[in-house]
Amino acid sequence: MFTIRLTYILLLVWSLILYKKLSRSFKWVAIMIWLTILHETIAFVLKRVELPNTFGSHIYSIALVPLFYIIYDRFLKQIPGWPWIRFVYFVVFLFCILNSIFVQSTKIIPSYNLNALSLVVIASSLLFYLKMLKEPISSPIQHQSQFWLNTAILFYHSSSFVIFSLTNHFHLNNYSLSQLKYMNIIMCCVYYPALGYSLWLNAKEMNRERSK
Amino acid sequence: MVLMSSFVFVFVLKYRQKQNEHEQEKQQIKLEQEKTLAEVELEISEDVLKNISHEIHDNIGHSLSIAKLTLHGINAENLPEKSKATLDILTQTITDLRNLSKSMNGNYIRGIGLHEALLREVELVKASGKIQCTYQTSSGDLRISENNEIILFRCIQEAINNCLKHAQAKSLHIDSSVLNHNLVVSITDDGVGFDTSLQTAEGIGMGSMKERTRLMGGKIILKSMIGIGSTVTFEIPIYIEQS
Repeated sequence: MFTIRLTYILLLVWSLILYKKLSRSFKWVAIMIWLTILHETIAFVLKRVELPNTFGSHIYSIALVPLFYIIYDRFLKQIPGWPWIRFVYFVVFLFCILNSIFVQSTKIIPSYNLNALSLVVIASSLLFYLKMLKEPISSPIQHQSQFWLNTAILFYHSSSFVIFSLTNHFHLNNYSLSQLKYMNIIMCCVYYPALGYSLWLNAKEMNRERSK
Repeated sequence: MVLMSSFVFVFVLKYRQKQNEHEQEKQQIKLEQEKTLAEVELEISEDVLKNISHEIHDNIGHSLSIAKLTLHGINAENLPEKSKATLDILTQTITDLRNLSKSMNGNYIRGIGLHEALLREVELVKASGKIQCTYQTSSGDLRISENNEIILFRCIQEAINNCLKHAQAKSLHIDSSVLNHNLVVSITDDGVGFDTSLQTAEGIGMGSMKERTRLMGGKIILKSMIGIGSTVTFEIPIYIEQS
């Protein structure tokens, strides 16, 4: 857990340093990172006094929907299927609110919200890969900030989906959950540095564009 | 995780393949554009040479012949009046030659800009005495990119030449304006007109004008009615450098 917290701190400092140099969509990525760190910090503090942060998780999961929508809207505006996904985002947003109010109480983790969000984010991410294939640019793929961002997001959300399913399965069969905890740590250790790397690449791209 | 990594790996391979194909396509398009540009440049220089040849033959050659004849007819009695007439002819010839040189010189046109070049072209057409020519502008001294200015000017010259050669028009009107981020230049005559659907419409320099306009990222619109006249309109996108 210490590694993850260290990653959070480094990522927070990193995103604050780079914020002014980022493109608009990546500024929203930075905002998403700050929101995540804020949420995790509150959860950490509350855990210390043995209080659950499920209410915060509900708010966080609802806020993530428009944030991901804004990020992907800037990338995928011109894609033909995007208006449908846009509608799906709206439906998911409504679903999250209704779920938090009426279905899953704020005293338990908003798993439905997070899974619905993961599904729509995975769809957006795959659409973005499709767009990249249709409109390749000349710079090498490993130097493209959007590729790293998209890969990190796809990796995180597809993994969290799998982890959620496995958690349910382990719960039902009374298996130990410690293995899953490690999977979660590995997932975070890949996701956040990849996000940081994409921020750095984006700042570099923007610098190059400005100097042109 | 293995599945995800495999997916990303396959994607990267596929992306690189697409990137190569895209680069090849871009190279191909660039080559084609360069080829077209070379063809157009060749065509323009041929047009220019033809124009020079006609001007030398029709105007300057003619004036010099008259000057020579006048000099032949000089004797002691008519010396003052004949020498004055010869001087006038030679002055006119020098002016014609200067105007012709300016009209053919791309660098000169680049320097003065499209608006000024058009004003001078109109003066040249008027001076030929073949046709009434007017020029109206609401775009002012708007500058587009230098290369586009010269290409557009050559297109307008081509349209004017077509009108002088084929239209049998009494008057010619050039209008320049800005519409929806486009510089719109139209050349209208009151000549015999022609059927735009016929092949001959393409033959009278239309193909080359179309190609040149395409190179500028613009479009050309041709309207004509038999017995009423024709209008050629060029719409060129502006990347404004207002002077």
